[in-house]
Amino acid sequence: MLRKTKMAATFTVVTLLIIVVSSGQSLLWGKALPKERQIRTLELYCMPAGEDIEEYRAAVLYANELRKLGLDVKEHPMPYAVGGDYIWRERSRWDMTAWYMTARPERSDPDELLYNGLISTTVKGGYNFYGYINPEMDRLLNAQRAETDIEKRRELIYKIQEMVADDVPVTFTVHRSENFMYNKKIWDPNSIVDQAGIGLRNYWTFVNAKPLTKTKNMIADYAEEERAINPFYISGVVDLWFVGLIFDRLMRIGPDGLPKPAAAKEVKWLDDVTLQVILREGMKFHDGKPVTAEDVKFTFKAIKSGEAPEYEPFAASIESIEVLSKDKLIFHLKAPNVAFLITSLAKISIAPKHIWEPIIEDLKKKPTEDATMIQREVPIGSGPFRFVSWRRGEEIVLEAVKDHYNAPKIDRLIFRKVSIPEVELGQLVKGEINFLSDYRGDPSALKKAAEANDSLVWKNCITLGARFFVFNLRRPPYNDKAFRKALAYVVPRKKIRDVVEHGFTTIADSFVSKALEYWHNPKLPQYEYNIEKAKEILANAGYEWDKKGRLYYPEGKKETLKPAWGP
Amino acid sequence: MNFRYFFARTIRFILSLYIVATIAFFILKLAPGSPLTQFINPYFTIKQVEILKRQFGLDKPLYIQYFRYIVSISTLKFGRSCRYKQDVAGLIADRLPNTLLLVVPTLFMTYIVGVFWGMFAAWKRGSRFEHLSILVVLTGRAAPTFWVGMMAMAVLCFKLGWFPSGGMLSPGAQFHSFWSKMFSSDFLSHLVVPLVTYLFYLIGLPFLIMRNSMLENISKDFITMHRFCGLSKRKIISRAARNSMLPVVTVIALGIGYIFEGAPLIETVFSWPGVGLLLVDAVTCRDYPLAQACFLIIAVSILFMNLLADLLYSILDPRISARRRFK
Repeated sequence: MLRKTKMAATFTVVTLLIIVVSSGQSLLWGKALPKERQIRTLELYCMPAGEDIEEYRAAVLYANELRKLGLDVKEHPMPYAVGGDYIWRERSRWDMTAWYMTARPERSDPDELLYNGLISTTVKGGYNFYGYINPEMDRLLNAQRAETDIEKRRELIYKIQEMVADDVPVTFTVHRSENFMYNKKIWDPNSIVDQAGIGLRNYWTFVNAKPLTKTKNMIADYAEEERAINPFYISGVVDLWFVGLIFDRLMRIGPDGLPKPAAAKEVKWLDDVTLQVILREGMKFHDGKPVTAEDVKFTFKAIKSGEAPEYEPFAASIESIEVLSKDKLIFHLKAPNVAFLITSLAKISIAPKHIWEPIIEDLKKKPTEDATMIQREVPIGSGPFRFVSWRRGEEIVLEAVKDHYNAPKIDRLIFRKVSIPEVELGQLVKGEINFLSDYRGDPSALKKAAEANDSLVWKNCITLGARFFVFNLRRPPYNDKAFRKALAYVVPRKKIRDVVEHGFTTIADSFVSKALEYWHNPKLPQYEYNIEKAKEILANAGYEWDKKGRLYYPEGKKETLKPAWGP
Repeated sequence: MNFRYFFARTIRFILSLYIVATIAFFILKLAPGSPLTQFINPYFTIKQVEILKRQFGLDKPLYIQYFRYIVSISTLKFGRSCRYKQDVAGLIADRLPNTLLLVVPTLFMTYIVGVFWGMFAAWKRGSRFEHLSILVVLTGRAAPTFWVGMMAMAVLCFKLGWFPSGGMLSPGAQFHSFWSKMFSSDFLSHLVVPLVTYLFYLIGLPFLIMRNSMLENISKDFITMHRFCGLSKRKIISRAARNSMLPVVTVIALGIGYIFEGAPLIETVFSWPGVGLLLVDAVTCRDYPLAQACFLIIAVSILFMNLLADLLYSILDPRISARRRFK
């Protein structure tokens, strides 16, 4: 009996001890959490150091911060041709990726990036590859397209930016900056134009640049292989500069980022879907034939016919075009689109009908060929510069058209291909080139060069392009807004700006660049680095840490590896 | 010359070419990545993906793509580049001469200078001249070409200002004919620095081979015999050198392969508009037709030089082609 009591007492004591110890342990070292609630290893895709050193370094820094939150993160560098393809095609299989946007002039209107990047219709195969779906956002995006009052439209654009900042489908790091340099003894600094979000290399600079010495040739450089000079093919970034100078457009994006009439003397909205365009008088193609409304109509029709697939989206909003006279025409749009002046009229180059019509007609009979494959030996346009010669991979020579309405002050514009930044700078200092227009190296080298030589002017310009980290909203835990917000708080933006980008850029907080002062919302939440706040957000949302500090899903959620939705 | 031997070699040449072409196809196709990524932008839609895939022939199954590829290369049409959307043959024809303009003079000079240098180094065995020569040559072989190029440019072009730093011709220069361009001072002054850089890298091979084979020959009996006969030093060197040349001749055939090895780096540093960069870009961007064509050109030139070397050997040394008869 006594024995039994003893045994029972011992058993009770031991059980109690175990309970006390185990609960003490959980009090001291955190709870033992079920394995299935532990968040899996998250993969962060980025470009390899050899392809984009800034992106790679930023990703490494960010991954380290995420580890501090208790996440197991693996950086996964992949060359663009591989990584881009994977992200684009396998929409629900990746977790996070670094991404960047280049500064194309048509992005001077906020519509392009916001609309295509955020509307739910592009989730399946378009630019909304992160899978952001929000009906209120769709409504706002369509509303801003229809708003002809620019002040009211700005309100809507502000609201869209606030919503992006609050929903955090992506988290921004920095804007990309571009660097330019020229000799102020050769070029009048007042004639070199800094276009908002584009920098010094732009239409206005090439047209206005005033030579101060006998040199009437501007020798600029480009760092990337040119592919085609074709008004119907968006072939590469540098090709578009040449196309933009040889061919004219109805509108141009002004130095302030707003549309400005060019080949059009006047544009007028008759109602919100009807636009009347009056052409300038006396315009000529470089072969002497006049530019008429028929040429304009032909160009847009050719693009709409499917023979120029890259340009087709830029003409998609056009219902029909009506030619009233030799220099007057009317665009009828399918739906209101106020960005039309920039995304269509300032984007599409006017091609001569007498040259391209037979080509387009011929192409319509060939199902596997289109206008992007046609490289004319001498591209004829009506822009301020005439094509002279082209040695592939080496140089392109253009000549000023002196009777153009924006006649350039220089005689010739020569673009030389130089792909190594140090060589570019050396050539500028030595005078082999006299306008540094495509520098992709370390800006501090330019700074030093400018300090050493008084006559060199160095300009660091914030562009329309931004870098950001993208979350795949289809996959848990990214489908949880609180989780994304916490992740936004640990982006080391200042470190990225000061260390990775050497301090020559600005922190980004929106798809709309800070260079676009009119459209950028100045009152957006900044998500300044704050790991305590991030932990607090996670704790409030129910996330827990185990004794080793690893992060677990809130109660009731399990790690499944399957996307919450999508293919 | 034995015709059966010639025939057998040619068949083997064609067979190797087929195998190389097949490898070139699959190695690129099976590597991850796609040529479509360069078209990604906010307006890139599903419809556009389909159009581009159709244009590039990527919508068809792999075996049909392979079949089409074999047919197209056997008719010497390499198809259309995904990035340039131009005929690959035309793109290469535009750029290949530029590479040859750089490489052919370089190879000539490399082998002439290398052979003579190696010859004298061997003759002056153990001298300070030999030690210094080997040091210079090995440095050239070991130093990264792009670094040497940058240094040469920094000194010769930027610091001293003797030569222009990039391109093949001065900005805006135009010439009436190919020959007037080739012999213009403008072109030649652009050629000097890349040529010297390239030569510095390539010279190691002929120099070392010539030196070693020369050392071997010098110690042979026939040279001792010549010495006993009282031949002049010049004559002895020239007889030893003639016998030492054979291995160098073999290496020249293989040296064609080096055209594409160093060319992309030299071409990048000196902004030389050659074919090397075209190949590098084509591979990184998965421009299949262009990359395949570049591979094939390299393969054909190496295989062809090998074939030529084999056939030449059979003339020089009858034992090779007649092997069977003596078995």
